[in-house]
Amino acid sequence: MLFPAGPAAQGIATLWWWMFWGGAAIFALMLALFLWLLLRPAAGQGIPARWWIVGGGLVFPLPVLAALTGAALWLGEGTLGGTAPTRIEAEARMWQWQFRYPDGSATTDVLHLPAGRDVEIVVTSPDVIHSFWIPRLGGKIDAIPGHANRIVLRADAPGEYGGVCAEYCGTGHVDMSFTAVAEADWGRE
Amino acid sequence: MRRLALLIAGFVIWSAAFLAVYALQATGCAIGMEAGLLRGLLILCVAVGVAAGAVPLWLARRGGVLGQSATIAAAAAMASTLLTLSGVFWLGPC
Amino acid sequence: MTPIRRHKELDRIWRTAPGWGRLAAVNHTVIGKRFMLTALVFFAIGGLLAMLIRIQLASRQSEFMEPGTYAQVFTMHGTIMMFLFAIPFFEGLAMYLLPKMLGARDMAFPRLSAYGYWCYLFGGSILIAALLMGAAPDAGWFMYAPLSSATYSPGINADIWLLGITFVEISALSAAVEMLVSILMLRAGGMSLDRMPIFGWYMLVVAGMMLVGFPPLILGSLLLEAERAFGLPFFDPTRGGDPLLWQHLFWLFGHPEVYIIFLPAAGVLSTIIPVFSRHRLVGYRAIVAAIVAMGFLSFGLWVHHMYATGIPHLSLSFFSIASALVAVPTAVQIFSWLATMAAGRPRFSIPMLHVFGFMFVFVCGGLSGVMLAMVPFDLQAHDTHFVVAHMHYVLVGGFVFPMMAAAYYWLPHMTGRQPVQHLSHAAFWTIFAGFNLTFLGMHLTGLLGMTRRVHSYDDPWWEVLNFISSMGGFVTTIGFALLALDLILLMLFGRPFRRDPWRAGTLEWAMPTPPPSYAFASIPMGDADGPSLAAGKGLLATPRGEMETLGVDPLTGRPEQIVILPKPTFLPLLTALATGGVFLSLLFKLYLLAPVFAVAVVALFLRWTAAMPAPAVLDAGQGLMLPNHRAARLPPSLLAMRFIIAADGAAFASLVFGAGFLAISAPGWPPADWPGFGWPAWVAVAGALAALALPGRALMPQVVTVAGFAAILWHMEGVQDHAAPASLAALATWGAVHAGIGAVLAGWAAGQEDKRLSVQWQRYAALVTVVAATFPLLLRLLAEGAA
Repeated sequence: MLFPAGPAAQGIATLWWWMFWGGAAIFALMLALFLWLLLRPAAGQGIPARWWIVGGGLVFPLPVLAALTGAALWLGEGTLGGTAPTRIEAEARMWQWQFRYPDGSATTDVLHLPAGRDVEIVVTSPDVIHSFWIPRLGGKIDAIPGHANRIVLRADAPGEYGGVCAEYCGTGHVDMSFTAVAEADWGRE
Repeated sequence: MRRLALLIAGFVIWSAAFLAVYALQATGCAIGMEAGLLRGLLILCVAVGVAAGAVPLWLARRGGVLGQSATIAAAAAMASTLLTLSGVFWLGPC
Repeated sequence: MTPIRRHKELDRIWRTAPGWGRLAAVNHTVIGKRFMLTALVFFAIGGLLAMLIRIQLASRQSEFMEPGTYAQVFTMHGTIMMFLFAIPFFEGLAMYLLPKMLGARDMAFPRLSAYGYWCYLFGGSILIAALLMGAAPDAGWFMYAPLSSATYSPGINADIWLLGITFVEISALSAAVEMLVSILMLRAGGMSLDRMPIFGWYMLVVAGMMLVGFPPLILGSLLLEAERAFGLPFFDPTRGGDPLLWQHLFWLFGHPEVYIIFLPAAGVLSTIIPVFSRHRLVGYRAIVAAIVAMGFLSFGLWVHHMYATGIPHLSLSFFSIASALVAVPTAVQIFSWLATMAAGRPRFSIPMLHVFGFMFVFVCGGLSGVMLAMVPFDLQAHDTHFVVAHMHYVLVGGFVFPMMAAAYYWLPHMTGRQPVQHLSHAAFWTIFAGFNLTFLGMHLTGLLGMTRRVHSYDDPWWEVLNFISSMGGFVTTIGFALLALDLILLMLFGRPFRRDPWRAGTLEWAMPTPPPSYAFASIPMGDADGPSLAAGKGLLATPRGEMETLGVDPLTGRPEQIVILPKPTFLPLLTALATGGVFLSLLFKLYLLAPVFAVAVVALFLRWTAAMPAPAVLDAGQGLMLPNHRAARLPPSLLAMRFIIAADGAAFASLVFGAGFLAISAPGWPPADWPGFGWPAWVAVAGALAALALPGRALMPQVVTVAGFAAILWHMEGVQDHAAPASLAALATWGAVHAGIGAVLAGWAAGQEDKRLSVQWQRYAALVTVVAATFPLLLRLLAEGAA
């Protein structure tokens, strides 16, 4: 996800870098406060207790968390639960992936995508729980037997992207990887 | 024991509101309830939860160290009800 | 009476006999230490497994372990650390400390402590034996169905997890009930709740969380075992079940569990930091509110392990916001500690070094936790090594470092010796450096896309990061070895000291160290210090041949009764052995033997009640005449029964929720033909109503209810074909078992003057019957509405 290749992954990467720098700053601040108080006894005696608890426990975290959660939900509302006219069915089974396209064709362990266009991938499983994940394009979606889950992804440029099963599904779990090939002229409609 | 109950009352109401909203939303989506109606019911649920949270806050207003803890907990619970369930106001219901 | 003579007489009453007598021990000091020591043995085994994992991952395409073995190793590492190390360890610490901090001579139900310990030891041993025989569970420590179902895990492996862990959880539930009652009732005279040491508050909330957090897991395990053993398809989507039900039940326990582990550690920090800051804890009231808030909020996060399961975004938002919000009470506590340090004059010592370790590691883990609470980011990081790193930062930072601080702080109390500090610094820095070396880079490994639970990988960059992690892992292990050596040296060669080396001021230091078997020579009343207690200036200073401790009003701490505790006995061991018999016969599918052992368990438990003292009013000293617990208004057992009913209610609610969830969410509903209970349901309800009307003479009514449910189960068809009849059969079985217990209790109470214990159960069981018997109607409404 550090090398995003689609809008969903791009949004997540932006969120990550904000959280990373913010988190690093908060971590440094907390540690500095602790060490300051420990190594300089009596340094903080001028600050009333209420300030510490109300300031550090409420005034500081609440707005930060509200802003972050609001932004993340806004981002999620845009990427989750969307639909796209182009639909590919992905069936995960122990331990391979089968993809079926609108024109009726099917491939195993290779997913052909149209580049630069939203595709909706419908993920199902006939046996145990698997999880569909192309790290550079976006988040995961579980393949749960008895349910059909959807995810909308887009590859901005043609190219090959690695995909894996992210949920442990038995001894063949590691081998259950696939390649997503984004093509400029897709022709499977 | 009543004062001990008061300490957790706010968050018991939070739990009830949380479960009620989650169950209502899941059931509403499963039976294909109309989106506007579902959102209205969910908002009503949250409103009832927040309003009910005022009761322990009012009851806890007097009485010692435990009363003060209960006041903080009840206020926190009331705010939590509103915050955790705030998605019903602006996110798509299903 | 001189202090020496008082000591001799009290010790004669309270001590655990040597030799075989040790197996009869019920004393909280002995049992608490056993819990901790056993947990450390399991920690070592879990750590060894972690090293195996790190060897496997140190290089690409490693041939060290094959996938099946590797699966057993990572499953057992997680299972051992969570269920056999973290929880039992703090239970042991709490058992050891709580009575001493609160001014009591023992926990409220010493035999229950012992029974819990044996269940823990036997259940844990089953798991380790399976590991040695290569038949350990291998579906991951959260055992997702259907991978763990009979179709995809046909061997005994998954049964070992489900039954072994349920066996161990008996000890968690018994500890929860015991801690709740002990904290609320067994304290020093005049110690009101709002003046109780803060550790007591932490454990009170933790025990409450355990009471409602563990039952969903136990219920889930029973349902999955019923599916595996008898084909009741609760989690099989081809027959009306739903794999998501397992995830809900598991995480409904699994998330609070993390806070159940963190809060005792936070309680330790809230106790230690003020001592080394030379200032009382600042923000006591805010902390109490924060603990309560955390206790509840932590239950509202369970779905944040399930963001990728296709749940609507709005539902995810509730859990996402709650996950972020739980950072607030955490921040309140951390800033209260900082405020305490600011107000006092902190001094540096080994426990504070570990507090620093906590600050560094836990804050880091907390921040990555807030990141993971954000839905879009979690969809990327979920099931990768980022989560593995986060979880270790939280659990090691939030539990292991505080427990090491606790070890250096309270080991002098257990041994009577003070640290000499040769290896302490080296051990700390080795662990600290090794830990960060292992897990800091692992965040990056995860972000680059390495999923968890893989035994091999291709990317050369991942190999660099993994190799660093593996080296860090070995450094950490060396650090723990140094720590162990340091603590052993402390025990052998530490400097002996007189009371209270830390100038702590809490009651556990107001006794000689190592602590005598009876803890307090006399029970503190109001302000008390060690010498005056030894001189008998507290309550119950005159030994009467019985194990006596003080029972107080839960809120005000006013002395209310003298609780007479049971003497050491082999009954807990025998009962645990019989309980083990039940589990082993289920494990090896000897289903005819299981009821025999179950009857033995019931018979043995009834035997526990044989040696009760007669109701009496006794002299407590200082001019106080108090009833013994048999004559008291609210004896500890009655309060315990209420908590047991609460725990049972949580399991029952989970069952009802589970059935409703399947009706709404699972594929293949409604079933082709609807199962009904028919007329026997009315028989069951009639019995329940009679039991409600005459709870004091409920034997016959409950027998009628059992007969009603038995008739229902007899006529039930198709339980293996669809989850609907299976759920209803589960409800009917639940009702039958509860009415059956009601009948046994009613029979027992017939010979007793005080029938309140039985009456409470009869009312609850009747309620269960009414709900269970009428639930088919509701289920049908739900299912047809959803269709």
